[in-house]
Amino acid sequence: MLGMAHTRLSDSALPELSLEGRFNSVYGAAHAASLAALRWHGYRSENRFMVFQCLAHTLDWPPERWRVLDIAHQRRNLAEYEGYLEVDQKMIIEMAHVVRALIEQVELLVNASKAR
Amino acid sequence: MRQFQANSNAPIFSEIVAITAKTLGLVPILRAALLKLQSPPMVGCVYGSVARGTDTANSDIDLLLIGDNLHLVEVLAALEPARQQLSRPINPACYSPEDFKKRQNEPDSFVSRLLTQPILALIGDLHEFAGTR
Repeated sequence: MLGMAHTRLSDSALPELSLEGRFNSVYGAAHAASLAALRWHGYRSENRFMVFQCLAHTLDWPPERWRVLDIAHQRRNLAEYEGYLEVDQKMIIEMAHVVRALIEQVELLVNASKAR
Repeated sequence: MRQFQANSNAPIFSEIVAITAKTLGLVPILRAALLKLQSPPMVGCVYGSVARGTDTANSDIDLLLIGDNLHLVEVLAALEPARQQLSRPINPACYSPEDFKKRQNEPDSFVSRLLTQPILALIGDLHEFAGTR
């Protein structure tokens, strides 16, 4: 799951991808890493939005960090169900910044438990 | 002129204050929070169901913010005390002035549709900025 997060995060920086493609990639990276954090704690979720909100508990994240991903989830839903994508390059860069930190923190969790 | 104030000794005083803040105090609470940003927006307003007056207890507060150097993490951090006070999620949509104007010119975009809908002004004048006044 973390491997997928890394790949998707890299994809989000590909200039040849469309804005929508880059957004879907960074969102996918966020979801994969957030789900990995949830699974590390022994939980599962069938609701995509839940994995972002649970970052408050899985990684002790403050609201201003996980809400960036929560807002991205809402924008993704708008795109999927209403047909318009309200994101820009600035938002993708901000999300990538948050997701990079997310992946690093989840890796720390996983490596810490492997070391035991 | 007669002035009235709530009786602070009344057992339901704190509840009345909370209700008033949540319903009538939304604008000054949000404005104060946004003005604490290092780079406050030049334009800020509430749109969506809260601006239309059709919101329910489950409605989010949708904000439109226009300014330079608006970063979502910083904006959310600045709004967090307001979110706790208002007990509703706040969804800021941040645009640079150039990006807003660009999207305004796109037909049927989110921005061009928003300009035809009710808003609650927090900072600046959206329609003066957009040239739609």
